[in-house]
Amino acid sequence: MILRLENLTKHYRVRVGGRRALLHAVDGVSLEIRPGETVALVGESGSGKSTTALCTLRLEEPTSGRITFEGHELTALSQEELRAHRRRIQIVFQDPTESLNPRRSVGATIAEPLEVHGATSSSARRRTAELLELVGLQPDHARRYPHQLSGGQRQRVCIARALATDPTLLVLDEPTSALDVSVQAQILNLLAELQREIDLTYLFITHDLAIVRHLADRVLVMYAGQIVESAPTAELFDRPLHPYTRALLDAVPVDSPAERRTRPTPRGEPYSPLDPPPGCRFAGRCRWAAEECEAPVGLRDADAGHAVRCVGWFSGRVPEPQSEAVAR
Amino acid sequence: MTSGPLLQVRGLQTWFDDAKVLDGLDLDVGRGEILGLVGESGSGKSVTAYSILGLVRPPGRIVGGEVLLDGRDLVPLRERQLREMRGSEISMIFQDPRGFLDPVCRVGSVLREIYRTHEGGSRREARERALELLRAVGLPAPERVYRAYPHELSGGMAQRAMIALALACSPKLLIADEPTTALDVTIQIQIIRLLAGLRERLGLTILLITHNLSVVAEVCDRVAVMYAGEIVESGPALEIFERPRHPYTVGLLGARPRIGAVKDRLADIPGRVPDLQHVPPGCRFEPRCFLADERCRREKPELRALAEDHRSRCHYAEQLREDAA
Amino acid sequence: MLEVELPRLGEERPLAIGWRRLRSNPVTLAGLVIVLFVTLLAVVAPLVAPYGPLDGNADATLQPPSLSHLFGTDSTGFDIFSRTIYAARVDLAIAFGAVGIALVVGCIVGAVAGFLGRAVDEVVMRLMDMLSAFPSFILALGVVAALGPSLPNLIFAIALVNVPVYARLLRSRVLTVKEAQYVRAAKALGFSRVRTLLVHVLPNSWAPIFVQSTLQAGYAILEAAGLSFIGLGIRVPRAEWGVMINMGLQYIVSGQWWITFFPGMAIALSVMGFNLIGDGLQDVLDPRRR
Repeated sequence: MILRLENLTKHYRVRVGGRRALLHAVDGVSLEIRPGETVALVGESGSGKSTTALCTLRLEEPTSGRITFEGHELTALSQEELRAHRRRIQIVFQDPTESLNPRRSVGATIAEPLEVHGATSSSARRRTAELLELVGLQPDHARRYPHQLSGGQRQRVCIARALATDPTLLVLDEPTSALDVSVQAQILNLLAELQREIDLTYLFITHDLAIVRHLADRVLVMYAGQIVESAPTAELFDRPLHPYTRALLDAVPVDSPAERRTRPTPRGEPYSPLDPPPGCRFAGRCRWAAEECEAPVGLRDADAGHAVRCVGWFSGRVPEPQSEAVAR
Repeated sequence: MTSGPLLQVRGLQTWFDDAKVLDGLDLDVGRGEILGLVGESGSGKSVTAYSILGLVRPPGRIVGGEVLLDGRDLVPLRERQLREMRGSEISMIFQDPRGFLDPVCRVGSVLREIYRTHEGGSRREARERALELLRAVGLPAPERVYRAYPHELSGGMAQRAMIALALACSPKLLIADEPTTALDVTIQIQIIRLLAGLRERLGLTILLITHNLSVVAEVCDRVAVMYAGEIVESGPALEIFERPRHPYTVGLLGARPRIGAVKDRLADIPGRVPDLQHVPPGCRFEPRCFLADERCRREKPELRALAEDHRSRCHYAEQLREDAA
Repeated sequence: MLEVELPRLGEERPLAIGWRRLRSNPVTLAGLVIVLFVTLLAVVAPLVAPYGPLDGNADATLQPPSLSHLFGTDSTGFDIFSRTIYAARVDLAIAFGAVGIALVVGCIVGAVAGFLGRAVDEVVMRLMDMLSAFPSFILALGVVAALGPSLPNLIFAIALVNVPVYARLLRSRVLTVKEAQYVRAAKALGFSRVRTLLVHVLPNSWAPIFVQSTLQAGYAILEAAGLSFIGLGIRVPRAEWGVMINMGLQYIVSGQWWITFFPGMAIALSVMGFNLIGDGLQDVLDPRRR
């Protein structure tokens, strides 16, 4: 077990139209990641997936819940004590341009974590050159500044920087969303290679189901701050149980015109849960919603390794997913 | 109304200082069809849209070519004539709906104003038509949206409102510039379906500009692929996806992770988009092309027809097989 | 990895780009030339000035500009030309000194307030508010009146008056930059707060400060001249532009215009030079603007 989140919760006190409310950005998220796995956290706006990622590194402070990383309880540590652990769990953000200090050269940016954690400047330089090669750049890129690089190259620099301290877990928050298709492919290939070469574990945050299908071993689907379904990747795509997962899969545009098919259009919009009701948060958009959905519902195992948060599924109201609707 | 394509772009040249972003672009959009204009950043697809509407700002300027809407050339028109045409004959919607809407105006008042400017009528009539239109774009509570300010609307609602504004005066052609890029997946499909539905009901012609091939696959009739300011391939959507005949198209299709077919490794296109200030004499895609040779470096390929309505700008288009994708 | 040609190295470090841009803007260049010229004159004053600043010549009082006295002489027989040049030393010392001190102090104050936030921010900024509640000239006047007129006190007074300007500017930039993604990345990488502030936040925040400081340099000269003019700064007969204007005031009506004219022009020229530089510095210091 590399990472375990137990009931991670993050609430924000906000003011909406003069009224005070509580934004339940993340509500009772629990998950486990095993070494070498790629676990994907999927959701749309308001799902809480990015906040979960930030809380895992305590870049946002969780309101409650426990984070255990490599046996250490991160939530029990002070910020000072936490710094020692930051070497082992790193993050790559969505926007590579914003993530790099425009006034520091690439080399300085990558070497910095090395020096901060004790390396001498000559060993830092060597390691920087190694890291640049590892991510597919050339050693003399070290002298460049971010504005001289393309989006894809900047993201490679961010990845190199994240790998500098030899982390075991890499959290990737939508790392390719800001990139073009062909560049995205390069980065995804790189990430897959790196995982094989240096034995990394990934927590991959994304809204793009195709990427999930391509990269992830296990998927957790989030909606309005909660995990609504979790399963191994193939299982989730073959047999999506939660109505939101089904809607999400229906919403993904086809890969080719030859595959066009009529399927239900999802209704409504994803939302940020402000003072949410106790029951199911998807009920307002769900085809099968009924009175029983107003009661609080927990995540239960439907099958081996496949859990879902839906009363209707267990009570029989929500049917088996039809194979043509999702057949892939 | 003449027959033939609704929009014909011929030899369009839009230059920015010394960068020849568009240098002889040809494009046809058929009546009532949804054409997908696909390209990555730097391909010039947005510049194309702005050029059609005469919205290119200095240092960019149109230096040549024609843009024929129903046979009428828009390039030589003066600003006043262009203004009359925008909104009533061609409309455009953008990626960021809330940026497009004036934050201090209620949605309804803007709609009303559009009606009254282009078509006259009383305030009450304009309001009725505005509400009708808001309903037509699928907004569940049109009266509320009518009274709302842009920041009170969610992304999806704002995008629908923007579509309503664009369609207020029944234009013939709607240019949609990355209309779903900023939207969540479940909203994206709603907007795509909405656009397709509007095409059915109103006979609207849509030029859909996007970098997302799946969106194109979902809803477009025909596709034109752009690279470095040129169309490199065009044809019916099914043809392009199943039988791509340009190395760049092949690369783009192969670079996508697919839900249907899980691959071990995504095809990647090495290199970067060329600097348009130093355009090579030969094929613009040559440095990155797996098929390229000496001829490609020297001789620029023409956009030529391979079959009925399937054109490719590649010397070796015929050599590409289906399984190259 | 296939690469498109990247620009030549050495030219692309942020400072190098800035220097290139600075050189290519004629207006900024003009300002730079002016300031450098005046500074140079001040430095080599003894070599350039034909007379000492206090070399009076009772036989040659109130002489109009001539070959032996380029700017004429005043009522004591001082050579205006020499005094104008020597005065540059005083006025530039005030400009650079006061602005320099205000810059450093203001930056520290602003950075601490912006970065630490909350209580510290409140307290510090209210102190700044108190300082800026006074019109700057009045405040400087009060300080000099209390401490006595001397060059160091004058520099201190003007510096004090300028601190809130820099503090506010820097604080506001720091507040923005603090939220940047690369600052968050620094936290994720385990960097200490001090390091984050010094290496990542400050270098990206202080660009507007430099712009402001060139403008403030101009104002500092005006303030110094003004205070000296009313007798609360540099005292007569020491060579300082404001003092010189004061000394020549009574002679304007009788036609000896040169006594006030040349120091006045010197002030105008110097202030203009600083302002012109200020305009161009914004571009110089931003590596992202290509």
